[in-house]
Amino acid sequence: MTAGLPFDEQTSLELLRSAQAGDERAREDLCRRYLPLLLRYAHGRLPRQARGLLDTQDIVQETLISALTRLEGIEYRGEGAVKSYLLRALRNRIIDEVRRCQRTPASHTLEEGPSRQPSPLELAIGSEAVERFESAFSRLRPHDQEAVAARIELGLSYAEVAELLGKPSPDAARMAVSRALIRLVKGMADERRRGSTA
Amino acid sequence: MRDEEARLLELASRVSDGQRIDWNEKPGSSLEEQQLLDELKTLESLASFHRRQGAVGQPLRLDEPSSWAELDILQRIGSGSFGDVYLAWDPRLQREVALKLMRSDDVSAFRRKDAILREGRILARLKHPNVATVHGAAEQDRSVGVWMELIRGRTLAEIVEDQGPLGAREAAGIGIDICRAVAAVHREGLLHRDIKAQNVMRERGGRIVLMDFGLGGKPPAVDSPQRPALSGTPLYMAPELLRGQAATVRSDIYAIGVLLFYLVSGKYPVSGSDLTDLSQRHEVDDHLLLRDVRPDLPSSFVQVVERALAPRPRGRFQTVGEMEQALDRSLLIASGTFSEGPSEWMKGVSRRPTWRALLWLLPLLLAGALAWQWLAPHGGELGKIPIAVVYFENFTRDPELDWLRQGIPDQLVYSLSQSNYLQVRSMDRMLELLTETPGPGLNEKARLRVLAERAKVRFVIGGSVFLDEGRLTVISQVNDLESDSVLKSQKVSGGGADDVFEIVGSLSREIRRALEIESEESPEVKEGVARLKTDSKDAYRAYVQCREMLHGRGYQEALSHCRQAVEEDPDFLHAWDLLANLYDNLGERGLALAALDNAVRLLGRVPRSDQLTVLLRQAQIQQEWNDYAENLEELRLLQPDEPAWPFRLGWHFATHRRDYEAAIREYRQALSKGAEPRVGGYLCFAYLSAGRYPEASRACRRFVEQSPMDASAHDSLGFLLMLRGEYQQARSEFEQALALRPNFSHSLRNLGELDLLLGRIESARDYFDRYLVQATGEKQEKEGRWSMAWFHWEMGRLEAARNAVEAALRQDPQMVKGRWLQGLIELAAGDNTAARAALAALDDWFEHSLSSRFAEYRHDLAARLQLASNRPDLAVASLQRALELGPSDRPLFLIGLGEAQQQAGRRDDALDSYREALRINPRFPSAHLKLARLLELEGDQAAALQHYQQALEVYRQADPAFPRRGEAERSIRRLGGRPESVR
Repeated sequence: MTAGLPFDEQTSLELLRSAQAGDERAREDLCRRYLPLLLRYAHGRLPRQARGLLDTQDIVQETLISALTRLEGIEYRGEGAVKSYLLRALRNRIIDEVRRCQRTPASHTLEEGPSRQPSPLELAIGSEAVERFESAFSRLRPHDQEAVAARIELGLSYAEVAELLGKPSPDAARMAVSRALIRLVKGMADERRRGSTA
Repeated sequence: MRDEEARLLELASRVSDGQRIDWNEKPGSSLEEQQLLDELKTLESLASFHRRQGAVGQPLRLDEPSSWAELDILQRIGSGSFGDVYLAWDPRLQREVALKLMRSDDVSAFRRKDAILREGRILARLKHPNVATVHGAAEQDRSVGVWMELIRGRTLAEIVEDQGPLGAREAAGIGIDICRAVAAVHREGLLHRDIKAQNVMRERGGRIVLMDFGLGGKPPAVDSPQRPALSGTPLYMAPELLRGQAATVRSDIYAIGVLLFYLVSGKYPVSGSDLTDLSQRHEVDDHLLLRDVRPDLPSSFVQVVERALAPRPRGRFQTVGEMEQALDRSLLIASGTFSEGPSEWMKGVSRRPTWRALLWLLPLLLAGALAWQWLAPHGGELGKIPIAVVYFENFTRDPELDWLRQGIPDQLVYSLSQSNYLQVRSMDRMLELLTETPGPGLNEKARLRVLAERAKVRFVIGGSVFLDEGRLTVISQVNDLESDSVLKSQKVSGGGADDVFEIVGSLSREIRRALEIESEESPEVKEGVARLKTDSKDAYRAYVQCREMLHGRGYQEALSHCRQAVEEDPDFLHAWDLLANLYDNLGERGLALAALDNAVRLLGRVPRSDQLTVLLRQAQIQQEWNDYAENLEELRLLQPDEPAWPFRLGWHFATHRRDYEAAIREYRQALSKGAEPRVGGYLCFAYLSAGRYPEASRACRRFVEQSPMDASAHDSLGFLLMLRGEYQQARSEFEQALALRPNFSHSLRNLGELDLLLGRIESARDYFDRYLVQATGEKQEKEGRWSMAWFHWEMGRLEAARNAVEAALRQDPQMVKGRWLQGLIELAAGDNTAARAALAALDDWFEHSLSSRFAEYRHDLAARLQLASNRPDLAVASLQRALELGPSDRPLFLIGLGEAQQQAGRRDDALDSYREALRINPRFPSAHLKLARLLELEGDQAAALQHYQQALEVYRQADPAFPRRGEAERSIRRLGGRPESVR
């Protein structure tokens, strides 16, 4: 299932180049293009405190804008690459955000201590699982990270993943994702053992 | 360890694919593996969480259920004022469904609960191809849900938004389907109450499906607070509903009217800023007229829409069936004046069921037979105009083109001798006379005259060939020797010498027409006019021209002549019948039936046998095969000497009842009564299907001997040879057919099939391309797309195959082989749900159809699905049923049977099946490959090697890229053989 993004005639490549050349409108267009996708992602990942509609949108927009100002850093490898790049930026930002929430109590009642409300993803699969995932994910090689994020989190098609990872065919991309998943799973299992022995 | 790794990888791939995994079935073999599986399961949940989030604009709310009743909710696919629609999984029946959950948070909704459940249960009984099937209805956790068939496609609203308004033809076609759907709902005593463009979908295959019943729905009251901008339902509401009256059949009809209005204009007849405004505009009759919005539409269509939209219920159609009829008729009336032009017409929506002439013979055979019988009783040359064709001079100065001198007359003689009005003197006779005719001293014309007198001909056709600015040009003259004048002279040009067939084809059509009109005064034609019961000579002339064009497959021209005939004389029964025939050939079933209605109206004027022929056609178009057979039996009693009746009975037995022995009996009877030679071609195929190969071969060869100039004779023989593995001879027959009739579609396709079988990919593709390019009419176009799909499928290109087959299915959603291939493709793509949907479509079709034509493909698809769900025993049974029907490509089905048997562990039976396939076609490469593989498994490597080599032998001219060739080569190497040695 691919995330439904509205694509205009202009490709992201053209927009990126214009944005890199300092075109404000291109930058805005890019924002508009990727905002819904990133919003959805952020909705699932942000803790409740930081998930008010405005909050989430602000966080995503800030991330987008700052990511797009550092555009020089990316080379174009298909639509997937742009999404992947932005997702990486957002993921880092969200991790910061989660840490911030853990540090700052949600309510004024300081006595209750730090209380963080779970994100929808945590509700769905459990916060420990999310933790194991994030931790194992962060230790994956960048290439594997991209594969997992592109297919599992962004729902890109194998053809898009292939383009992103520089694989010759959708089948090869599928294989790459599967192998990355196995490494991730092993990392998560390690994480669990570490947790139980600690 | 390696196994474990492979298993893990497979599961990881399935997680990545988003497939469901039953984790209980797959326990880890060690603690360590179990831990990994647990984490994989976590990832599966994570992936499905993200999929749900990504599926629609809004994420799934936290308060939304993940399961309901016995269904697993996968994702939300829509929301409305009533509640939400979800994609759900029915674990019991292993299928995806659409679940509509109605919120029960307000009291009035809760009161409607019982009504919803009751209606849901009634709808679950309703089965109609244009209505989304409701699977069930239940109540749980204070919410009421109805789940139904999941339709994959686009709503009409989306289509109009994307593509802009539709043409009247397409809209009328859709309207007819909607009327049928709504009529089915009404028959159950229910109302739909929520017909709108958002609630009608066009499936990927082209099927129009009505969904989303306004279950128990009550129209909002005028004073209820509404959002300022109106969209959707209220715009479709009949004025009386806005006044608070109850919904009726006629308010549903009004909604269909609004829908049609919207489809062709993108606008609504009455709109307003809110509900009050809307009601007021209705009260003061402030509405748009369709004829103002789309003045270009045919008025017959506009009238139907406006009648449905009459403000008073009484002014509308009284039943949906009545509206359907009016729409159908509007197409017929409009067809002459339509601004869209005929080609778009034919492309629009075709609801015509598969109706293809048996295998490869002339599609018009049956259709043409009727009209000819009326005008041309057998025997008698009386009244035919004697003509002669003489040489065409070669003025091109290119000796290479000298053959045209004789080649053009040969072609002309062949073509003109097909006419029942013309008697063409044989070339031999003419040459004989030519040598006797004094040469020197006489000018050309005088010589000709002498020649003509001796040959007793009235018209002589001759001409010349030259190059006009490099283009091959032929001038012909039809000389009337009686009046010493030129009846017709014409010039036709083409590109090069290859176009000569086109040129001659066009020349001969013109000449035929000119001569046949001339022949109108002949005694036989006068008799024909009397028999045909028309007083209008113009109508008669148009009729003759229509029939003539139909015979020469100039459908569009024929159409205009036929329409003219019925306009000149609306009581001209035979012209209506011919028009029906023509529409039927164009795939326009609704129009054909409307024309037939006119013929039926006039039946009192003609004798019983003519009545029966009209009724016969009606039965044929409506596919009422029992009536069809009964009419034929009666006709046979009335006209015991007529060969056409046993012939058609035979066709019926072979095609619909699959009773080949009965068919053989009838065909033989027809031939003994003097039927045309091509009935022999049908006899050949009946023998073939009955598995009587030697007799089939005799029948096909006799057909060729009797009609050496008939392309279809060579094509039939070629087909038989191809099925028996005589590939080279088959090719030569197909090529002969093409030499006789360039671009003969059957032979183009057969050559494509042959090359595909032999792995000559490029060449196959060329033939299929040519087939598609020259396709005339919807039927051939559809077949052409199907062939392309088959080509891609054989090459393993799923996406291209899917696109092509979907294009074919858009033209004819009931094309059996199309659905079958679609099922195969979806199965190969891993979408079992879609494959099952294709099977369900086939089942629907065969449930309603009185024919078991192509039913073997249904069984084959069923078998493949059964194999996919690991029920090889069932698959074996399905394929045996397929084989009982006597498919002409029996070896192919035998291979399928062998595979199923192999999977069921019945290897001996599988060996028998493969060997049986090879008994029929000893050079069938796929059978050799399958047999070889099985033998290799059994450990008989020597025998396996032999069969691999036999397969490779057939593939020796295959393109290197052809996958099966590579497979054979690799296998031979693996077994220690030398693939090169066989070349």
